[in-house]
Amino acid sequence: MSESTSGGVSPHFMQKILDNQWLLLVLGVMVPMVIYVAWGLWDIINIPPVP
Amino acid sequence: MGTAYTPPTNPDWWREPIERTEIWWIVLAFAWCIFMFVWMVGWHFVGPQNMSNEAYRTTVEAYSAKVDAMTEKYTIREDEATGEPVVAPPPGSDVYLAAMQWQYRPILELKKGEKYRLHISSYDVGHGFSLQPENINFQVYPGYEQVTSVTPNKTGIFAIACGEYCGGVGGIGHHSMLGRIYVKE
Repeated sequence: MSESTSGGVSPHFMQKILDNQWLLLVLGVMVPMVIYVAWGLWDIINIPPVP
Repeated sequence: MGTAYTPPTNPDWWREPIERTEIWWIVLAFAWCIFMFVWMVGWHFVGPQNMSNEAYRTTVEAYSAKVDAMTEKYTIREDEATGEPVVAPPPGSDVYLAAMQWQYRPILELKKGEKYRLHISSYDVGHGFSLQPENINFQVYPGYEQVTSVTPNKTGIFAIACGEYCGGVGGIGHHSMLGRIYVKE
């Protein structure tokens, strides 16, 4: 898969991301993992003391 | 147009105009994703799945004091099967249940159709609370008090099974950790 277009124009940055299968793999694992853990930690930190 | 195995025929495919059907597909799929995300709130109120609960930080000492106070005040008899105290707290009150290696205490006797605020915590390690055969399941940790409102709608004996491995030695342990709740008319 070529990174440069036929007109010599650099591909759009979204195309660069979506054409890079390894980057997509890393994002597909890291993004849910980070959101899940961060959301969970936020929930735990915000558990109030017993009234 | 490319395929799953070959690259797009237009190397500048991102700048290619999107067809209307594809735009509709993206819009509808995204709208459905947003709806499903927002409906997560709806599941707190609708449906027979595991009920939502409140959670509070506590200590084993503070919680066991509440359990002991309730047990002392509302014990009505000794259980025939186990010899443990059976506690019948008044309807509408806070009811405290403790999980520990390897039992649940005390044995509660509740009234059908009455509402109770059920509190659950652990004295030692992580346990599970799974009311059988209903779909009521919680993880129970020391230092955390889980609270939920329950209104028993059936009479009988309900078993509490431990759903989180909590050790065991000499033939007793997690696998034999069972409690019971009586519901009377």
